[in-house]
Amino acid sequence: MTGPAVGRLRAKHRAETVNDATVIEKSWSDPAQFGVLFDKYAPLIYRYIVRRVGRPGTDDLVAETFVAAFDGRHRYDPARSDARPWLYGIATNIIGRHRRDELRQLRISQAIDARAIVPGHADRVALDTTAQSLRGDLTIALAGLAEGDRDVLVLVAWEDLTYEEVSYALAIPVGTVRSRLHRARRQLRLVFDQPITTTTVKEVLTND
Amino acid sequence: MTDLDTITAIRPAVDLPTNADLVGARRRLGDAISREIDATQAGSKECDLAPTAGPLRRRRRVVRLALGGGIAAAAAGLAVIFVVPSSSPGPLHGGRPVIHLAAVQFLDQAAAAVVQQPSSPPLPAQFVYSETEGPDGTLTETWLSVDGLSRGLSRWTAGTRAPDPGATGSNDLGTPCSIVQGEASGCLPLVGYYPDLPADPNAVLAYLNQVGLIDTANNPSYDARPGWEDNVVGKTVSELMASSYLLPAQQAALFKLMAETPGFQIVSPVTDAIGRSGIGLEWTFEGGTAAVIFDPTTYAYLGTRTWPGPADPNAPYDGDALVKLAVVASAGEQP
Repeated sequence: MTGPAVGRLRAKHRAETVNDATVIEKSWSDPAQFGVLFDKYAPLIYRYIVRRVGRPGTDDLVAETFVAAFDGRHRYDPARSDARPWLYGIATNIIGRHRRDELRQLRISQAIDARAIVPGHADRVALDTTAQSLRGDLTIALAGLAEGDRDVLVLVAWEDLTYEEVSYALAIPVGTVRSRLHRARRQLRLVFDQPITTTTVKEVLTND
Repeated sequence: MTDLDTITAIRPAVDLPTNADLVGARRRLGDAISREIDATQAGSKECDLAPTAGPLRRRRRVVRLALGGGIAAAAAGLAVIFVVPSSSPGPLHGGRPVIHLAAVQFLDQAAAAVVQQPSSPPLPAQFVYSETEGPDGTLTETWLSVDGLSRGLSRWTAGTRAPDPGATGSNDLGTPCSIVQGEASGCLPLVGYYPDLPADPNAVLAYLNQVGLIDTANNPSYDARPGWEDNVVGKTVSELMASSYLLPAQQAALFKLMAETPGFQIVSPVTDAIGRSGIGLEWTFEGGTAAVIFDPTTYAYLGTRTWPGPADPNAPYDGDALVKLAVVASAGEQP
């Protein structure tokens, strides 16, 4: 017997196209309209936050993100039809206030057995043995990145934002996105050449 | 695989959240929206309360009733959070509304209120009696077996505005069957009491499938019809509240289930078939519109109204009002 299919219905609705700028502009005079953005993007933002800081307290951070977005909706650029980068940017700023949580989450990720943290089919396909063998080292290296570099890397590699979208999300020039990503990748590439198995995220935390 | 692919591959695998995971965040956003609306309307309530004619009338009445419900809830010591519904049909996804914070908040409040009511479950051998009235005055009485082991009965008397005033009739409802059997033979898939109906809203639909009151779990065609779940939930909540005894926790679960189903929006005030004004929770399905109507103060179920197209308060009334719900000893006995 299957369970309630509310989630399936929501997913179907999300798949339909809505011009976010139109919704936000309507919400300027009719605030309740802003709920459309919540319904459309809260699941993505929730997942993003869980990936970065873990599950405890995610509900609060999602709420903070959308309340901040609601409060700042009059500053939204109507020329941007996709509000996703804007919301990712707000969420990233809020995550920035929880850096220790993020590092703690990375430490947990490093400690968890690889089998347990790769249940998704797509990830199973994509994750080759190299990634599995380097998981711990890469997680450590992620924790050691500069915050801004890590934000860019995660938004590109984990959340599938384009450089331009990251630029808008973080309010930095595209050139800065490129340079931060280049720096982050160069730093992580060291792991491929020389795994840092003797370091732990705890040590990174200690040195933070 | 590039180094970036490898970074992607170590991304923590996290499932998208369930509706329950987002309830708290949705509520906090709703609070923020409510505060802003309250602030902007603080100086204009008198204007909103004034009667008006023409197209604006509906919205102004909406505002008045929403505030009235909030005041009543406050008097009852409940949390008062209302987002005043929009005058427009609301944000549209494929021509239908998708998120309705006002509806969620109203339903949350209803759940919190009804769960405090006293419980008085019927005995297995008893019947749940319901009396409904249509817009033409036709009265319909229904007796449903509490344990489902006895035959149910339905009896009706045509109203004074019916084509054949005073005409009467009755139906032997037989013993309860599944909805699949009901579609084939006309038997009624309802009993007077579902002691195992879960108080967990996330378990309600599975249970209703299990007891045969709905048939969505094994019917993939439902999932291909936009709004099907709104329709199933709206209709089932109506049927249960109109004809069965529900424990307070079960009533609360049904309100919560509606709150977690995205298609409901408040269209208050809606007048039921006998002229009572209530809060309407409206949904659309396959071009038609329906509303479940609740008392704005007690959250009691009042009735339903349907329209073949968009909701139109001036359209001929199609729906029923619940006049009486009681427990009696036998089929045919009136309370």
